[in-house]
Amino acid sequence: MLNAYEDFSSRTLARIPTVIERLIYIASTRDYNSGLYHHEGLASRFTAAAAAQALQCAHAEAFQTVSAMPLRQLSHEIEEYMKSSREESAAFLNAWQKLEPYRVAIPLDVDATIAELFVSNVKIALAILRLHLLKQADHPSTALPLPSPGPRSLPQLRN
Amino acid sequence: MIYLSLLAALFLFFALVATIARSFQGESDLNFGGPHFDQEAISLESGNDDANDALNLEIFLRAFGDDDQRFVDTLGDLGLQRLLAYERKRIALRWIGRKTAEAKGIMRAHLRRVREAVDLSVSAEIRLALQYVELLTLFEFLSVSVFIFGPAGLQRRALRTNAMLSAMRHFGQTSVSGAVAL
Repeated sequence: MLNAYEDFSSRTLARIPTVIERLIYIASTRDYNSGLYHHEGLASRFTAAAAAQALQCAHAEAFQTVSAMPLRQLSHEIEEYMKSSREESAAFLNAWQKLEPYRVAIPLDVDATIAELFVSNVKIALAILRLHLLKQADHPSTALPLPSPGPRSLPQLRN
Repeated sequence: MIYLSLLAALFLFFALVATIARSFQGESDLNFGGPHFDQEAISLESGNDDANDALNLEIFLRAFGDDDQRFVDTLGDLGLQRLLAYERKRIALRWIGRKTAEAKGIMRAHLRRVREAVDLSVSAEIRLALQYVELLTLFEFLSVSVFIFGPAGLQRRALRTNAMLSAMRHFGQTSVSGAVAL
């Protein structure tokens, strides 16, 4: 029999394509006022406490993965998330750069330096996406897509 | 006389740089510890959390590798390169500031326990004090070095200082714990 964490990972998280989306989804299951996690389906299959524990573990894991991501991969992940949100790229970037909603994705008991690194990396990744958008607007036909995470697939933007 | 003046000028210069570097380590807008965040308290309580500490250090140091720098360089935007350099330097200085505070917290907590202890090893206490001074000097050096040259050489030195801090944390606890029990 699966435990709550495995169940959540295999049934829910596995369907979410990028880690950043997973992180945002898990953070959204946390109550802003109490900091407690809640997931109706998971709590009904297990207990509310087990579900909260599983969500907390999954949150910490996703956060560590995103924090350790190289900028190339992180900008690619945010770009994918931006596309999946179906918002205009400019509007998405404006909101993320001004409101910084990604700060709510930080777990409660995280190392302060890692939390700062996460915020800093997302800021830089957003600046990269903004630059990419500007290049696209200047030269719509010649703009190259954002380099994908695989090191071998990195297009040569400049020699 | 000239040499003395030069030495004094150099000393003043480094003191100034250290002061400026320390001002960069001011309170961030990210206060994850909440209003009652007590570095001293967590330093001893987190003594058995070495695995987490190691993982955090690994994540932190990975950010100072060449990958991100190379990637941003390929994008060919000066503003972005400056942003990366600024952010990495800021994070590095904040980390040094936190570790310095942690070392000071360990020492303060140790001194409190020492006052209540009845059986102390003088040689062990001297060793701990020397280790503490060495660590603070290293952090100060690291701080100045990161401020002037950037965090390029941080990885190797950060591992060393972190290992020293970890050893001090364990030593600070074990050297007195027996004495307190008496």
